[in-house]
Amino acid sequence: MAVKPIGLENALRLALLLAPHLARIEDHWPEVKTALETTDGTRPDLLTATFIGLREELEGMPGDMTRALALLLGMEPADLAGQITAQEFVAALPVLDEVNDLLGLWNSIKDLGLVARYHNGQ
Amino acid sequence: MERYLDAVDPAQAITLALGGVGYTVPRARLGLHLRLSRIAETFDGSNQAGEMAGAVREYLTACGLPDDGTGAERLAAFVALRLLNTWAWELPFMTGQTDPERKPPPYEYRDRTWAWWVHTIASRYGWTRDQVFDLWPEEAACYLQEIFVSQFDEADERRSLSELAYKYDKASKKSKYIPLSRPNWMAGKEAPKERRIRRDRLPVGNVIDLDKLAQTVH
Repeated sequence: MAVKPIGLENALRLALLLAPHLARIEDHWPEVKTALETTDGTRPDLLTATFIGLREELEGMPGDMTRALALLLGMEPADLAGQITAQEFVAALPVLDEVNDLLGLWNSIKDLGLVARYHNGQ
Repeated sequence: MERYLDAVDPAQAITLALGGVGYTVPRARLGLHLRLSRIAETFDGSNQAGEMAGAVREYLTACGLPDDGTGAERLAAFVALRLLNTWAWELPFMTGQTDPERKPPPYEYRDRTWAWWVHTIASRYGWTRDQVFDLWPEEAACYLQEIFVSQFDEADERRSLSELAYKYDKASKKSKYIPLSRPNWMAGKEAPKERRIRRDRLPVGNVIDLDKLAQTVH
């Protein structure tokens, strides 16, 4: 499957989808940081590391993660479920991360105050 | 930025990359600054990706950027431009607190503050609205403050010609000039009065001056 960077509108959909989770992740930043350091690559695989560091936190959010992946692949979530396995999903994460500069996107989402909207469960 | 010469520096700009091409974007002048603020307000007040994307597109287009680049690049550019176009200098006349209980006058309308800025600067200098909107935002604020100071001095001078400004002192049998009371931002902070304390009531031992202690850098 050819993967291309997502556009502005999908980037914002992704931002709104992930912002509440990012707000929660910020509370657990030390664990995420540790996870980032354990990847010891030149460019940390942010989503993968997030999954490692926040496995328990994110367990209740498979729907949002599926939607996030569907947005990154430009597919409908329903189509995605039948076409991709868990292993393919995990393997795709670093590629999607690199193509879409998810770390940069994360920083932009934070700087724009989208994450702050969801602090303290707002 | 806390200097007039910084406020009028023509080099206020950033370079951004969109779709692999670099663009140098200058800081917005007052007119564009106000327009960008309104667009940013739309973005901040929305929770719909479509509306927010529209606001980002409008903002970038207003800054002269093409409809190009990935979502991440465009959001990063939006963040950088908002930072560049943030108001960078609070002048003394802007620091006063507004009374939250103050009722707006019946002739109030939205954005009247900006109409008043244009009106005050334009009527003082004989400039057009476009010329006022072509000032750097903080530069316009500097001129506005100068106008206030001049207006106050002129009012004080006019008042000095009236006998109402003089109070007769019976003891000296002379009139004393009472100047207009200046607004807080013009008067500045008064130095705290030094209180004299009797020697027998001073604390015993080494006295640590907390004001000086707070300035110590560790």
